[in-house]
Amino acid sequence: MAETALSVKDLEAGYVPGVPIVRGVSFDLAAGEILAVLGPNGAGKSTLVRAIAGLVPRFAGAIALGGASLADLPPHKVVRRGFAYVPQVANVFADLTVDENFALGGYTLKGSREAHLRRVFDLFPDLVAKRGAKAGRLSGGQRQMVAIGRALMVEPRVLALDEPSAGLAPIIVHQVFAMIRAVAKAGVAVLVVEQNVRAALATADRALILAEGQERLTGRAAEIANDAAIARIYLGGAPESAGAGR
Amino acid sequence: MTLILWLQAILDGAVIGATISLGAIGITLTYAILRFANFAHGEFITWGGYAALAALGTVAGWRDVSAWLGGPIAPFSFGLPLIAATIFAIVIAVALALILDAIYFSRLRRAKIAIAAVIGSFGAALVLRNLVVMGYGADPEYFSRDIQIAFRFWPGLRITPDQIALIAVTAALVVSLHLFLTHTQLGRAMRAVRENPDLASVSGIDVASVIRATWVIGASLAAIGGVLIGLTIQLRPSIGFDLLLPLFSAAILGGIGSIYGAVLGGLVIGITESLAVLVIGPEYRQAIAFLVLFLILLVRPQGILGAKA
Repeated sequence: MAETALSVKDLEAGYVPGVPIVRGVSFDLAAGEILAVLGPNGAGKSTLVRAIAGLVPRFAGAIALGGASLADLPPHKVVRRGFAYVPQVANVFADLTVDENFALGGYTLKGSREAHLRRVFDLFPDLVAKRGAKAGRLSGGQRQMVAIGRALMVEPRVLALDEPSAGLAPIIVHQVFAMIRAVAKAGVAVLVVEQNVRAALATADRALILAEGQERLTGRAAEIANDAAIARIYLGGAPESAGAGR
Repeated sequence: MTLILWLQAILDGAVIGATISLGAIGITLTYAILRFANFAHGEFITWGGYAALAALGTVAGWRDVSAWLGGPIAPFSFGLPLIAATIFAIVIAVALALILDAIYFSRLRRAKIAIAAVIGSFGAALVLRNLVVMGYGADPEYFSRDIQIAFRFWPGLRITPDQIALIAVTAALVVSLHLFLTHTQLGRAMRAVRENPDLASVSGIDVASVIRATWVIGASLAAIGGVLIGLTIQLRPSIGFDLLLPLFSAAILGGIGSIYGAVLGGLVIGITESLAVLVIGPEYRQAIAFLVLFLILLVRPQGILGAKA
């Protein structure tokens, strides 16, 4: 078992004091591992990731990255510790060029950003020709690449993605998940919130199923994918059909 | 009516417009980055002008320093003392902006009630203006009482050396600001916060420091604007307050959030007012300027250089 990159214990978080949306969630995420966070709409999946990123207030519980507590750090300091987050919508600076998006992804880097830029462009060779283009003018798939590339500029220990497949054509979804696997293979722990249950389970090592802000089940992705009962109860249908109804 | 008169009016309007631009840039930045319509912004202009006046008076009293700085540099009416006084004016205006934001504006912004922010900052403007009246009285003040002889150049247009300096300083500041916003990490961070504060913060940008940088830039430009008005016209406690409407008009006309839009808006307002004086008379000056604003916004509600929401 690889070292634990991210550890969340009994986390409660929400926007309004006294009204937790995430209600006691615990999980460990190892370096190089992909954990899918699944569950129906309103289950608190996005709030969970936003709370770890420092965007949503924590009411109780612990969050640790590489053993050091992240709890109550502002978002810009959470990034410095090695947690990079890609929001679901508005995840690129549309008015800024691809180069500028990546430069801002590397905002916390000390010294030259050149090597980091080269590494990210190696991951997304299609974007090299678009370096000077405004991110808002790119296709949905390219935009998602910019969003992920921006987050990878800092070489994070943990990469969290909120619905990276949302609004993308199936072939692009396939590319995005292949990319996520490549990132994990390089040793990055990946946390991926998804509605596209089938693609997420095919990619992830483990899955955490949330409902009403609480953890209902954690298990190996392959086992959950094959369990029709789990799919029916928590994921709104068989894995094969889930994700089509959004 | 001769062509010369028209050209002269356009030139005079451009001089006024340049000072409006400097203030409008600050308004457009604070609105776009902080989502805050600061009706006290004009007071940074007033306070900048009077801070420079105070510094000039103090320096004149220190004989050694005054002798070392020297007198006016021909052909201008000013020299090193005014440049030193401008630096002091910037420091005062920036300090004023940062203190006001820390103790007052930040609360208005967090409340997210637009009308409270408008009236709250408007109230701050009244207090700040009256503090100047208490210190200096309501009568006009001048940096120098010497009369400046205007250059005459083809085809008979007149402009004073100080007015040329004003236009050159404004142009240099606008170009520097553009380079800063496009070529430095802090400048890019300001554009990032303007577009998406959450994404900026998860990229590692400290949004609070970007907000402080915005105040520093806005208040600095306003203070320089105040000094330039004192240099080319006169100082009154109401200069900032009287400019408030033209400043907001320029920012909105150019397209809120756009630096070049604010400059263009300032020039349009300044030149329109100046031409209105020539064509109809000074009493209709502002009405004509606002008629132009109205007509342009009918065609382009997002402003000349503004992006569609």
